Amino acid sequence: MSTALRSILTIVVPSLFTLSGVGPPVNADEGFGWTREISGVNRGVLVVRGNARRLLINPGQMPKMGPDSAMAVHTVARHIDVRSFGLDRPRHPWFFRDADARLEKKGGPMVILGTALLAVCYLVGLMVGEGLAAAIGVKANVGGVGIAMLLLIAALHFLQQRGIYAPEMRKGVTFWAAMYIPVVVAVAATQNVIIAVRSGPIALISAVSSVLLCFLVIAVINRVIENAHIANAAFDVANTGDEP
Amino acid sequence: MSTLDVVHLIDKAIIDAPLVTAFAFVGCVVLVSNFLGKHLTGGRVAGSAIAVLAGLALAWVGGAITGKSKGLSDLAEFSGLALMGGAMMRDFTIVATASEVNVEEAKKAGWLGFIALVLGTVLPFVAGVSIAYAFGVRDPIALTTIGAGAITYIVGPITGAAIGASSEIIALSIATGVVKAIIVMVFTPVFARFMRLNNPQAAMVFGGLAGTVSGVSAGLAATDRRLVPYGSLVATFHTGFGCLLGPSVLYLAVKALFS
Repeated sequence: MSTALRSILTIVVPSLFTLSGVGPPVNADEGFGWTREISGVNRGVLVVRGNARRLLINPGQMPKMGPDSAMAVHTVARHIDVRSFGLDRPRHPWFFRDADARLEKKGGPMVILGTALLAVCYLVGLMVGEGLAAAIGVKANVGGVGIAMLLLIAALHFLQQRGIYAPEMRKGVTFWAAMYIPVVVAVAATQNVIIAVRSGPIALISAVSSVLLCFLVIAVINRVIENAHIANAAFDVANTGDEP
Repeated sequence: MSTLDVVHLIDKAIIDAPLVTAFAFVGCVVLVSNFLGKHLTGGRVAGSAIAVLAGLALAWVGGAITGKSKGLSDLAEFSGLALMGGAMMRDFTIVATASEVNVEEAKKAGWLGFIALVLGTVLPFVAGVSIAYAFGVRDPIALTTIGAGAITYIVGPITGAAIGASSEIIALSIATGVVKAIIVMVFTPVFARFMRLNNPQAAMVFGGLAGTVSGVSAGLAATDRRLVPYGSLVATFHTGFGCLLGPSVLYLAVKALFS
């Protein structure tokens, strides 16, 4: 039992905490660095696009990152001789070569790359979940989907940072995210509603009371985190995200 | 060509392509639900909430016709719904929603999610055990199994099987879990304002406490699509966590209390 608890504490909990250790990109909205040479600065790491490598720069050389951080990037760029780091020579894995050309290309088989990435994250996540369950002796997948989500977040972050997350590839992921609600309707249509309706008072009352209890606690916690300013500002209510 | 031939032709096409039929069918359901949401309720009830309710109603119809357990998908014409609404597609699309997660938002509530997960396992269990006790159940194995069913409908049978509960008790615990999932699906949008369910951190707390992935994800989808990835991210740990605690800590606690 204690080993099981320890695994939970050492594996599951940190994965909830450390989703990704890298700070936000400098100009995230514009697809992260469309300038040809320097695309961003992250915690002292200068990201150079074009040959998909990162370069650590001297903290003394790095200006304070303020709201006009895009400016700062160019300031840094002016102070560094790119050639002295060998960054003008392409020296990266085959996959990243010609990333620029691929980013600009429309159509083609890029969509499947997004879906395949999603599929690989799903499979690896479920495998890890099964492994975790076997390791702690539980007969159910332990957070496999959650782990898959963390993997996808990390993978997309990686691609975005290097500026090789092509719009076509993005479509292969976002299509499935958008298919989510239709799938949920299908989930609802395949529930065993009959057994739920017929099962008698114990099932109904214990389900209702546990849901009410949980909703009450959620309401309390969310009010507390709202007042403690842990929670962010509410989403815009007028736009519920149904129609992007 | 007679009318019968045409009907036969349509039937054959529909049965030969179950998944494609499911796509078309769900599309129609969503279309009608959006229309009803917009024009009948004046936009007060989200189209997706009506669509989920319609799905449940259709599942009831399917179950009433066939007497089987998988809702509408037990009818041959709608068998594609079992694939489209099965665990594989459900989890695949949930993972895809992670592409919309804002890392900074999620990092902020990691510890909150964990606390919610613990509470979301213990509180429903206590509620389930108390109700079963109030109805005269005294056997610790039965009490634990019903309590575990109140966590999710997967934790119930797994816990029951692990500690050796009878099949009626396991069926009862599955029913408890299914009823819970359905209640969460239906009432999340209703209580969304009361629960302050309007930001990513709140969604993570909700995901941990309300448990059941299908309930949480459908409930959040009907409330605000952007909250789905945050809630699901935590909720997916729920079943595994429940299966871990159910047959061990929780069973031992019940046994110590009631025998």
